[in-house]
Amino acid sequence: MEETGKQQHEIFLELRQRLESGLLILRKDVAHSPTEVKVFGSDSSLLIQTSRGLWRAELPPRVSVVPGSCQPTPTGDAGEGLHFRLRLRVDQQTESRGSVIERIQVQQSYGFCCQACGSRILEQRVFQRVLPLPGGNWNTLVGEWCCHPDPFANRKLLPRTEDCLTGDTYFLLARDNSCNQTLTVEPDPTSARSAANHSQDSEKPRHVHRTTVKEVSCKNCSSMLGEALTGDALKFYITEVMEIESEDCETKRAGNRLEFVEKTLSARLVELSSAQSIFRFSIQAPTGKTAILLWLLNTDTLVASFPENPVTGNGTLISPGDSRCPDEHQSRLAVSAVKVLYLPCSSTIHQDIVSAWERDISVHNLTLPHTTCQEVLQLLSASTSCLPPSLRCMNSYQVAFMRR
Amino acid sequence: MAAKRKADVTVPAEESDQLLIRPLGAGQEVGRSCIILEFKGRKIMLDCGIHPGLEGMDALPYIDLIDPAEIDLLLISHFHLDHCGALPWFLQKTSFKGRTFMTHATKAIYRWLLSDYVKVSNISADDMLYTETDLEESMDKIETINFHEVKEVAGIKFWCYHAGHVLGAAMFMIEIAGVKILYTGDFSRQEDRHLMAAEIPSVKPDILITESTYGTHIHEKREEREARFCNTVHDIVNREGRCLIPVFALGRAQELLLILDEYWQNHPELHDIPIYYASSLAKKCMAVYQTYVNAMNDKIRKAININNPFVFKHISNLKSMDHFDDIGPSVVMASPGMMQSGLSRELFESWCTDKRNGVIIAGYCVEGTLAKHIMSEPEEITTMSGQKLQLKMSTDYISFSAHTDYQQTSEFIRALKPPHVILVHGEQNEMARLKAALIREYEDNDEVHIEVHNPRNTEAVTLNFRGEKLAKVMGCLADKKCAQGQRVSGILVKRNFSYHILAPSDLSNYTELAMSTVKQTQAIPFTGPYSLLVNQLRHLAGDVEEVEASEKTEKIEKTTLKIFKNITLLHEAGMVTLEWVANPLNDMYADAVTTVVLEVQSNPKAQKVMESKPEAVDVEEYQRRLEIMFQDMFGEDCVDFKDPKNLSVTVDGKTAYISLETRTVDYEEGSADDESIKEMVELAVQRLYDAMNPTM
Repeated sequence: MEETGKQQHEIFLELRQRLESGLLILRKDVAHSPTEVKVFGSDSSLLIQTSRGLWRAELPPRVSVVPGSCQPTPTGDAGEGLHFRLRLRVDQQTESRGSVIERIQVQQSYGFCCQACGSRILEQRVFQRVLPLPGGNWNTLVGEWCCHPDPFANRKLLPRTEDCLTGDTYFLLARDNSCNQTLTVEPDPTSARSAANHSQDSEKPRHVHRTTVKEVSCKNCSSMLGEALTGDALKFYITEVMEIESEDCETKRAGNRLEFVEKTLSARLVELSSAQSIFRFSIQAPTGKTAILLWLLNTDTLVASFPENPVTGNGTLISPGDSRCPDEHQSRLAVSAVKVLYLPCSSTIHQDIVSAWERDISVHNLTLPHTTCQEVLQLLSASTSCLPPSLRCMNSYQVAFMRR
Repeated sequence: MAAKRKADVTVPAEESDQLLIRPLGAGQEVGRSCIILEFKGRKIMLDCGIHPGLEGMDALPYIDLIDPAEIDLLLISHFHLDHCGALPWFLQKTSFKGRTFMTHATKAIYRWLLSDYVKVSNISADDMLYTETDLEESMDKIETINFHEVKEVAGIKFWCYHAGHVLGAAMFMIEIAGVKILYTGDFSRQEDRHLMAAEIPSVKPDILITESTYGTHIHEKREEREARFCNTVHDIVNREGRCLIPVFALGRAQELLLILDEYWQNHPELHDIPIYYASSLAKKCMAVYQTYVNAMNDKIRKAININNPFVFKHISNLKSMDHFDDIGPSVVMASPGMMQSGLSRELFESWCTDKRNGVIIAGYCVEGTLAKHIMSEPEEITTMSGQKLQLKMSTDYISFSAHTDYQQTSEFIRALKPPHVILVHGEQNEMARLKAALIREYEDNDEVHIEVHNPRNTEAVTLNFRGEKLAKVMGCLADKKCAQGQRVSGILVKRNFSYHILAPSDLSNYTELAMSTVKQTQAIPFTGPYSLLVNQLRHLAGDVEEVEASEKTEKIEKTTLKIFKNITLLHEAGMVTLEWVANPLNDMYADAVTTVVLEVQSNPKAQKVMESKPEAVDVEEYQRRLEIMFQDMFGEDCVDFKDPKNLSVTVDGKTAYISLETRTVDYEEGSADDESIKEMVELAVQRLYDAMNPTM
């Protein structure tokens, strides 16, 4: 905690659109007493002025600060700095783009490329059907569907040529002719999964007629993209590939890997949560090993924070871009984010919580590639470390914001 | 039962005595349960399932034969797809606007199963019945019902009993106009470790609609079955083998776990042999089970107060095979139940070549699955990768069926003695055998008559229930005890299927009805002499009363008469106004009065009579005749006409004084409360006057 404490941003702003309220925290070296601080809203932004300088948080359209509503509040921890509460006026909540699974539609042309290197992996195709897959364990329960001989037990849920079947974190597509040039399919050499172990994979539907996992990776950059379910059906994780509507792949390529993972995952969390009233997620590797327990708290949040020394390139919550001195005027955009509680499962601590979540029917499993699970953990802890210490944890859980 | 009547065609459905039971599915088949009940203009649908063997619209019951908008009530017995799979379609895609009920546990599990089913069927079939959104949106339209809770919809009373079978399964008792119908859904009369046996209702139904899946089969006794199961497991681990039990996650697995845990508890020598329950869903299924403990049997409900019976002492959950060391004898319960793939299949393939090992199939098996195949004890099996393996492990089949067998059904019917039994949910031959067996059972019994029907899909069974109409007398009409033969008059009120007779004034107390009165007013131009009118009215009614004029009317010179006690006549310049409270009698009186008014107004003859005989009666002559008449009536002593100003008649010490001018009779003040003499004398005075002075 000592180390991360140093990373606390100078100014942190958390706004709740639904509650129409906000919290502003100034690190103790930014200002010593509330009298030194002037907070005022101007058109579509919030200005904070202290003896050290002026900060501007730009607000989304139709969101503004109620003039004169900013009030200092006492803090429990004197060392943390100054806390202010403020009220908002929200005429229209900001909406974020859905995940790829929400965006893909029938009768539209899509191409797919590797997120890491941007090279095209599948030919441009038009889907006739875009259908959701059942929950990962559906075949375990299929015997309970009917009291009598039940023909569903042997159904295979594989995509036809013009199908896109969507799971929670992946989609299934039919292989096409270009795949031989763009993809490599080989047994997963690193996987320690035994044959019997496969069925424990909680995120896979009926397509389990295999004894070894055949990993699909990009021929160009060797990034793992998904799995080959059969000779014809491929499974791609939404965190590893990008869909493009135009013919040109390169233009879509995102610069920052972690930012892509963050936005893709948070969008998916919001979708699953609103569709199925799920708030707790267990993020697992394909082996079924739980990596992170994640509790979705708020989806209406806007955050802005001002680091002392703008971090570069490591993709923490606040993207770099403003390299001016901190005592000068700084400007940041308050961005939509989801607030989550999380618990890394790498260690043996909190085993009681882990087993309680496992037992709980309301916890939803999400499978992501092993390395992606690590990346998610990395971005969550980076977000946590930027927060004022009092906001970093709640009971046993840590707190993070994920941009949408 | 009355014979079918032709007249019924014209009788409105509400009054018809015909009760129709028509399976739209599950008629001589298993799957797509859907039975329509029609009686007294009410329509009820029992279950709304899909046929698992068919796809798209073909999987639906024959719903095109009915108008969904006419269904008042839909009851779902349990969460199996062949009983509820078509529900989202029916709720969202048809004109149905009635109400839908199922138990709490059914609703929870229903949603869970259907949300997977809808996706699986939409991916594998070409035409979609409904989408996930339809399912989601239909949830709000489903109401829940507690066991034994009585609900009423459109006059249909219904409640449900535990049916055994699966968690939350219900049997519905439906009562329409006093006729009771019991629909069993799928049921089992055998209590198991966690579910209670189907209850035997305390009310006897007139009609029993029962499942017939197992026809005339008889299940192995529960104790024997459990003992066989435990002994088989014990034998396998005793010979150092591994025991595989492929099971499904929900229901039977919990039952087997409870049995094994108890067996291990009683056999300490087995304690070093691990039992694993390997299902990634295991814990979640348990959570569902723990939530709906109140739908289970007493044993579990009592046990839950002390400690959770679903927390097993001797069974470990195996979430990942990483934790499984396959080093010696063990018992593993793994899904899926038919070993079509997955963990159970993989364990089977790695264990099947060792003759010490054994597999126990505890459920039913579908043709074409490995579980079914090994029941024929083949020498080899083919692995999923195509390899041939010798099958040396032992295979046992122990049925843990949750359906009633012949013995249970027969006992159930014996307890209820329903006059009519309708068989549904059974394969044609099984059903026919069951029907024959039931008929045989009662053919020599003169006291119990049971008709057994096994309608095909869309074929209606028509029964007649001639209800005797019974109306209860309520309110002030019931204050006095009625005597035999006494007439009761009041208003007949029909509410749903019951009748009551009420005094009109009680309507608002006992019903939502109110009593209203209509006051009629009729104005007639009248310019003739008022006195003539009064005179004519007296001739008509003999009951014409002058009403004291109120203050206002005095000034404008209004006069008011009350004729027949109910018709008010108001006379003012050039106009006569009649007022009365409308009812058939008063209307008739009013007509008569109107005629008199019009007659006096328009008939010149009537006026002439009046003019020509202004002093028609000779008062002296009238008095003399009156005296003679009263002497004839009462005797000479009674009549005192000496004083012409004080004519009197005395009868039984009561003296009545007669005034010749007004032809009225008065008692001496305070002398009597008996009006009979007065009335008699007055009538005589009037009649004599009329006889001497006839009009027109």
